[in-house]
Amino acid sequence: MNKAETGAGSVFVAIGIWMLLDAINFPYLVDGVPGPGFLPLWIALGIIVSGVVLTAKGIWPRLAMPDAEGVVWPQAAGWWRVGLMLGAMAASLVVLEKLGFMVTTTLFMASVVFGLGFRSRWVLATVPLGSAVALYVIFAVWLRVPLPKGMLAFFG
Amino acid sequence: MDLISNLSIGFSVAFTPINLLVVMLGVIVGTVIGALPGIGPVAGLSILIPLAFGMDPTSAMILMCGVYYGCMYGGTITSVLMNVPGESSSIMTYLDGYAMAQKGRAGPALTIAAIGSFVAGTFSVVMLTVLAPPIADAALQFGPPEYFALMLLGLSAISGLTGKSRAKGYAMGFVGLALAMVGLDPIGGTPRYSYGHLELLDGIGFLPVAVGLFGLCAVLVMVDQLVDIKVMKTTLREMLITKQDIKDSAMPIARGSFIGFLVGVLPGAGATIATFLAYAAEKRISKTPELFGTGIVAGVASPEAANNASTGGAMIPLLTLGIPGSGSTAVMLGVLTLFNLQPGPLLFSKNPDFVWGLIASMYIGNVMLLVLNIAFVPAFVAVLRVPYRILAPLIAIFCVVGVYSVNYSVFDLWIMLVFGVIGYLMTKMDYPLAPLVLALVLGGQMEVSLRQSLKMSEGDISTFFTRPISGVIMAVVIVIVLWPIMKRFLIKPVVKRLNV
Repeated sequence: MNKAETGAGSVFVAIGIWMLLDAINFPYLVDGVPGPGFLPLWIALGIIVSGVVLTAKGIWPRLAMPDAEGVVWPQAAGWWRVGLMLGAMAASLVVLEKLGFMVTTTLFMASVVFGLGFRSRWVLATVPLGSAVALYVIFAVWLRVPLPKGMLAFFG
Repeated sequence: MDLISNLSIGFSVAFTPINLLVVMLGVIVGTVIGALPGIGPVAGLSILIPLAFGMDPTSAMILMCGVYYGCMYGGTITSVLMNVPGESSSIMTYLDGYAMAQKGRAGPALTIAAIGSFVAGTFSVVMLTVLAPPIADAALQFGPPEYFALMLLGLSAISGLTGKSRAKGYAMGFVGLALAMVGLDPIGGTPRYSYGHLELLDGIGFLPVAVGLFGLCAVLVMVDQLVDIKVMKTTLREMLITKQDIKDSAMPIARGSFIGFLVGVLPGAGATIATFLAYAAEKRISKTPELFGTGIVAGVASPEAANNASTGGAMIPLLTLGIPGSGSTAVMLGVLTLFNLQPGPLLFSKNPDFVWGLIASMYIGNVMLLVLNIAFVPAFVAVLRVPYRILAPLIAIFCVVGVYSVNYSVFDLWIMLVFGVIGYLMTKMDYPLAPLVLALVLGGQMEVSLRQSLKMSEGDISTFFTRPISGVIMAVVIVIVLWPIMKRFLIKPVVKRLNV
């Protein structure tokens, strides 16, 4: 049994059932023609059927393509780097509006570049700030995107 | 005459200073993105949406198209000089391209690839120029059943024919359609799957999903491996080719251009399949098939021509019918909808400046790429030396700004992050991402066409099969969906009997 494939297939089945349970609450037909529940119901059934097939292929790998390769997950260090990137992004989204784009981007770049193994002080000092300024100039100044200013709002 | 006047309108738009600048920016950025291993055209296009969103629609699409065909050129640099295909459509080029580099012929490999790409790219734009108007005219006769059938064809082809597993493709397509159902019902206005969240009443935006699935996912894949790859050096002098090289590459380029264009037009096929077919055809025709893979000119020229020719082909269903046939064109369709432009037959009559300006810019972009990819290869190689440890977080920030710049919504950023994680896990498990995005982009329109068709026919589903055009399209859809069963129970027994 391929646990990852079976798990993914089961997730599809669960999503399909969830969607189906909601879809039956919407009118399937309105005045004899399809209503808002028509397509969601068929989509939900499609997800469930695909999920069942995928789960079956995970439980009985012989059903899968003969040359199908197993899932190649990253090593521990790879997981750590992925976690670092996602964690830093999530933290940045939490503080983005409070700290503003410039400060958040500088902190994000510095923490990720450091976390990914750069130890040069020159790089850690210039790259994060330089990137934040360059992106701010491109988007906020040139393309006039109102990026959040946060704690630097007093600069106007 | 019409064609000439249309093209003159187009060139008058494309030759404005801002559009020339934009096409140059697009092709340069596209070449760099194509050259970076792990970031293909779809991810590149998704990451660059914010830049496009700040421009007027014509310039924005010129930028997007520049990035699209620039990516095709860029993948070659990595294949030849780094022993790694920049993206999937460069895999076949890499077989002979790197072998040529090992023989000390990296320069000629890159020059032949650039010439082949230019010829094929230009050929495909000529075909686009000639074929698009009559197709758009014919499509004016299409009603909701034909549109529904076409969208179903695009979706079933991309779900069923891309990726290693059909079941995975269909599952992703269905999930994309499910996401398209979130928000207000497009006909009656009933809220669906929004669970009281105001942000979800407008539906799940294409942008955060596409940027998360492709852009952020590419970043995560980049950091999970984080391999520093050595790049071979090449100089301008080494780029010179011989008369024999030109002779050896002429016919493979012509054949690759033709195959690439045809495959590009087909929904679900795309540049990668075009290169595989072109390479296989060249090997079959060759008098010395055993030399393929050892570093021969035809092995570089043909797939390079094919992947570039497919870009012009892929633009035909997008611009004339509003049906994208691949992940890249699905992203472009998403960008058009952000500008409230509905691609399809009416685009040619309502927005001629836009359509012909875009097509004319593709001629200019191909010339620019030829020059850039012969004269400035050393500069592109220098970009490849930027460490991934810096590049990855920079691209992540680009994704954040891109999604934020459209609705100024942090909620959209969270959606992007969630879909980045989903995209990463799905990529690791070999689930194709393009069907999900295509289904999300087409889902709303598909539902409207389906319900309008059934309203017209008073609920009679046979309307899709009795109208000639939609009937033919639905027959193709059925063949695509039932192909594995037909192959097993109808075709294999017949072939077996014939062999006996």
